[in-house]
Amino acid sequence: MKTNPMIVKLSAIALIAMAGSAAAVACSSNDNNPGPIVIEAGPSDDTGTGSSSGTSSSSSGSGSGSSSGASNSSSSGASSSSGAGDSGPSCTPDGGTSATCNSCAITGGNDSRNTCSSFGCAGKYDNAAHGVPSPLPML
Amino acid sequence: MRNKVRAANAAAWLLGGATLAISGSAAAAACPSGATTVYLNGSTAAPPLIAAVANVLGASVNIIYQRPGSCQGPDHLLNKTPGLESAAWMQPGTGAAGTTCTLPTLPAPTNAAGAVVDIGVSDVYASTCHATFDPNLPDVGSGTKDFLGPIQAMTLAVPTSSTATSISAEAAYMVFGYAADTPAHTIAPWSVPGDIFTRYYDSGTLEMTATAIGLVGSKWKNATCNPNTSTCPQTETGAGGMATALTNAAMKGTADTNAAIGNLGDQNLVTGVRPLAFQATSQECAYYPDSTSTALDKINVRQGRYAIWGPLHMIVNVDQNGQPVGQNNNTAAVQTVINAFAATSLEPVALSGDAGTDGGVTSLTEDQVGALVDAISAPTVRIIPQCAMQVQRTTEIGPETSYAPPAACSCRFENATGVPVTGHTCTACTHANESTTCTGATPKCRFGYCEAK
Repeated sequence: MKTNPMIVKLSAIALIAMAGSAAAVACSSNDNNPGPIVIEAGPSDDTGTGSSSGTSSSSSGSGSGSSSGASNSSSSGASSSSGAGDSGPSCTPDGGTSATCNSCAITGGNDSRNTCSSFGCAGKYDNAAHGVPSPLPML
Repeated sequence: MRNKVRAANAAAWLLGGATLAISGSAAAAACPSGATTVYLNGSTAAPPLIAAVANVLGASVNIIYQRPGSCQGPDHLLNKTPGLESAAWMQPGTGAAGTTCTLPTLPAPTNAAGAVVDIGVSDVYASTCHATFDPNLPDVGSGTKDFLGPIQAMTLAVPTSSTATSISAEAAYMVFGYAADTPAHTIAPWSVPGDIFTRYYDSGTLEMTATAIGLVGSKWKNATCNPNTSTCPQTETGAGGMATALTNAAMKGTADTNAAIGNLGDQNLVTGVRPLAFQATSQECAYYPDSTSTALDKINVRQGRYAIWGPLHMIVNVDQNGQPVGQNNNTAAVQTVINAFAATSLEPVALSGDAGTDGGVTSLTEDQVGALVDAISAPTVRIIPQCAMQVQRTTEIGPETSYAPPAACSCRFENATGVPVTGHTCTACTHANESTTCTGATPKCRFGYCEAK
């Protein structure tokens, strides 16, 4: 378990490099996806705002062809996606336009990419039905 | 304000120690010391992970852990203040609690039992603490560095028998911002102010969740009330206290069971407490961290659908080359600990083909990293090694992008959790039969299984 200081340094460099990367990495690890990662058809604009902005710009495409999990990704889960994918922006692969998988990673703004997979969905929490005010009061 | 909090906490711990002494409890043994002992301080959520790593490191390193909270650990490191909190030796085999031990008396001007902290441990970025709990917290970067470790998921938790199954970011904003103070501010079923619990706002568990729901930690109802100095029945200083509060509420009756809610690290969930599915802002679905409320696969964290997650932060002093430096003549041991926490995001040296000269290669072998994966992924720990992640982010609850780890461990992770993901086929392999066994989409043999990379 002896640690080489140079290795620690290199490890730090690698971490920084990883943190700094945008979306050059294709979702090749999705080869192991157990469920459908569905890429919806639809308009291509990402209208995301707020905290989720920036990811859309990552759709620059690179190496995404390595994602051989495409066969899983294109499963019938598409039909079970919420309607948001039909009415909103498309599920643009964040590994690039040629990628066949998507992390479904967008969680903010108006981007509907987060609806591109129904895997693991526990149901929609309807804010209006629960009496959550909109807009929220300022605290 | 910040110093008052620190002094009050120290006094509370000292008082606790005095109480124990008066009650006749035997004094704890002295903590180990020397060049192989490393002093960590911070998160109350992290002990299961720290214990797991300590088990793998064995006798090579003694980890002493103080757990005042995620925003306190970085303060000790960045502001160079001694850690005066109670300490535990994370001795292999002693679990998340470790073995309580007595620290030596620090020289003047401290003149109290404590430790010079080597590693500040936080669930959140130091900038998150700076923005809410500690405006005087210095930035990481000048002689210090934030090493990122395995992934933790934070949850909004309820008693197991609660009728609630999910919550949105907006609903959580109302529940924790107002704690049902008026009918207009109440979101059913969380309608009893006395059953809505929060962590003190030095908590990374709280601050990470706060970022996810758009309500800064200092604005959570009761979160700025310090239980060490004031009467704050709704405020908990640790994960254990929060779990107990929720289970106690469930024993009061059905109404209180359904009204009870708090926030806990996924790894801190205990029998009687379960997570709610969380629907982040603009999501159309609520997701559990796992594929179901009882699964252990963390698939919705690993693929980015569950929003409240982030890496463990290990903040440490570094030399001019960016290499970790210990504060107790223990630099080699500090580097060993840092390397262990970072190892699951790197490629094992034994398989890199270049004997560790390439960036992104850990000094640990594949077997050693595999042992770390097993340890931190176990059902009793429930942490996610970075090599099992498929998304990444670089800021607190920031945007996610796809991630392909240098050496994937999805199958090893799922095997370690004890319940493989339904529909995910993992093929066992060895390096000797990799070329014939690992084909198609998963051509690499990693940690005993065929992986994509």
